[in-house]
Amino acid sequence: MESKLNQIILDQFESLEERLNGSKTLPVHEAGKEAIESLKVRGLPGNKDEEYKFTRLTSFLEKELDFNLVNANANISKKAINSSLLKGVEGSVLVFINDHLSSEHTSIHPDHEDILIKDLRESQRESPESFDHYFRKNQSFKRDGFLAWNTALTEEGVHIQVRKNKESKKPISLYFFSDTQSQQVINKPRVLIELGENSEMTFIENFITVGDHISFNNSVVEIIAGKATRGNYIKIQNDRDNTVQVSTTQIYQPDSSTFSCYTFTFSGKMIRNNLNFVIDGEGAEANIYGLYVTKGATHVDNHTTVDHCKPNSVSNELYKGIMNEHSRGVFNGKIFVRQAAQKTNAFQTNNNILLSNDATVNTKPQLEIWADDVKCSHGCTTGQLDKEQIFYLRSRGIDKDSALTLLLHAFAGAVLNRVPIQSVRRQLEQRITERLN
Amino acid sequence: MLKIKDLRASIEDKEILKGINLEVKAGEVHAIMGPNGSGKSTLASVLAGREDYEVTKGSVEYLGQDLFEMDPEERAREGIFMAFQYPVEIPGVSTTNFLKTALNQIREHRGEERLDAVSFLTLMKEKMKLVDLDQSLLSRSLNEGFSGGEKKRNEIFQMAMLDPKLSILDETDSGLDIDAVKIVADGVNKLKTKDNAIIVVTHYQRLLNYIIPDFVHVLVNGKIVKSGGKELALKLEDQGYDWVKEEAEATA
Repeated sequence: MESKLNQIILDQFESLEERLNGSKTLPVHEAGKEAIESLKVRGLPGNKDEEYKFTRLTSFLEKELDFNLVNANANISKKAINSSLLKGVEGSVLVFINDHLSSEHTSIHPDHEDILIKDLRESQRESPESFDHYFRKNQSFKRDGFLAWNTALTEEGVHIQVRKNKESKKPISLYFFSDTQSQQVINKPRVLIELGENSEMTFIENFITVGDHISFNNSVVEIIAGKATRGNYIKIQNDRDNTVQVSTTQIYQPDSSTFSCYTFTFSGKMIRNNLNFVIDGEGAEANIYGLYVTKGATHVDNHTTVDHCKPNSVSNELYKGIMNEHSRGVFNGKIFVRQAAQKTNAFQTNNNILLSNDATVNTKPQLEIWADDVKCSHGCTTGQLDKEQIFYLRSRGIDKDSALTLLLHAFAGAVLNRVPIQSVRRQLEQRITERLN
Repeated sequence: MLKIKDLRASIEDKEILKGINLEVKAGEVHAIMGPNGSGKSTLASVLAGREDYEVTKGSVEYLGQDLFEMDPEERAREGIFMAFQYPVEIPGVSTTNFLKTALNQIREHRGEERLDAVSFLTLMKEKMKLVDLDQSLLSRSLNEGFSGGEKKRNEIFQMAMLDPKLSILDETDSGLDIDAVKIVADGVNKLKTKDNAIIVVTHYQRLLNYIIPDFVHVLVNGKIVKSGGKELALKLEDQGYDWVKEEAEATA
């Protein structure tokens, strides 16, 4: 742990312990203790860390932010909040401002009244044992420094519990606001979602910074699906250009569950997504879609892992990127098929279009297969739009710009059209149109 | 309508067209025949505006304008249409969406109003019948997974929709069985008027049984070496291209 930032995190953990008093034996802090121990050993990923080779976050953060600076009190107007919400999306809206779940701005849809939505601190007090079971299910902080950091210092957050057989077509939207109007802000949102057996639910995640100073979010969302659940998680990264984010999403899938994740990235300074699926059940299906349409100096890194532990499951992964100007993309897709996971079907594709000579992408599939009776495939492409397609469209009277737009929309559509909520899809499409014009 | 004078064009410094002269008037059907590699498709591509080719000499006048001053889309808007030898597949773009965009840009260019959804659909249904095209294909991605015949019929369907003045059919019969050739030719014949012109580029005479040309030109080694009426096509079918090549060499 030679880095300055590592030491600051250790100090912050110590002062957190002093503050906690009676809460020291509660599950969140118990997990925190383990996390800080692993952080002491491994530290945050350094510049030579293989997993962060193309995204040197630790040194970037040390340069750009002052980690000794305590967040100022947040003060975001209702107007600013309302204007940032997606339009025409029904369902519940949970608003977090600098990590704090704001009861003032949060609204629960009548359809969701039987869903438990609670502050982590309360929830763990009420049923520490069951809470502990899920919160500590995630041991992967031993492998990732940012996850360990978040786990060690978690104080606030939200626990969402969807009861057995609950089906809702209306989503729960999570908005994480960072108030940087007076100074930089560092947030570490934490969300635990449990889906009861045979339930169906969609979540939308959105990070929004209000203010001109830099924001850094190190967020962790854990989703524990139940048997035969159908879940969707839509992640929209459309924040200001000077925002930095490490977004870890962990999904555990038991038997016969279907879970789909959609990650859209349009802007931000440096974004790292760690999306990890553990398929620990038979007959489960994971769909993993991503689209990044970037320009300027945006750097977006999507690391995904699909761990097939049991037989007869399917994973489909499709990530697409359109990069302009100096923007940089990284895609790393790991697929593990364990020996027990016979009859696994796992597919992975990553396609990129570079619109400028300065845009770059590093893409790497990583498949480790121990079972012998499986179907796995992967493929990646990086290039420009097809000249013959452009000529074909132009030869029918379509001007060059419209032809390019048409082709890029078609390229993006392969991911966009999978989004299950129409109003969200439309707004994403609009965002893509703005970006491509 | 079209005046080609001493046209020379090359690709990657290799000269393919070596001085083409051709005049096409409204109401005429011209067939351009020739052996493989003679430059037939290059001529079609140069007229449509494909950028891979460099025009090194000569001129092409289309409706009094310098064709080489016009981008491919401008040519299309001014009424030039090329039916591709190999229509490209464009995943994610439906034929309907694509044609609506194309037609409206052409209409805008002509100073006409955009077609509303209903009129567009009506027009599509009417034109589809011309080439017996199944409506289900139109909502699918353009040419993706279409059979060879469906792709070629889709080209003629697009021709019908865009109502061009000068159509260039580049090997439209290649890869088609005889029934499909008849359907395609039948569609083209229905689109023929005294005001438009058609250039049929083909290796074989077969298509010309159904689309009757007024003139047949034989292209050999980048030059038109012989021109005649439809009977020339029959002679080529019967005797092959060797005699024309020999004649050309003898006079060269």
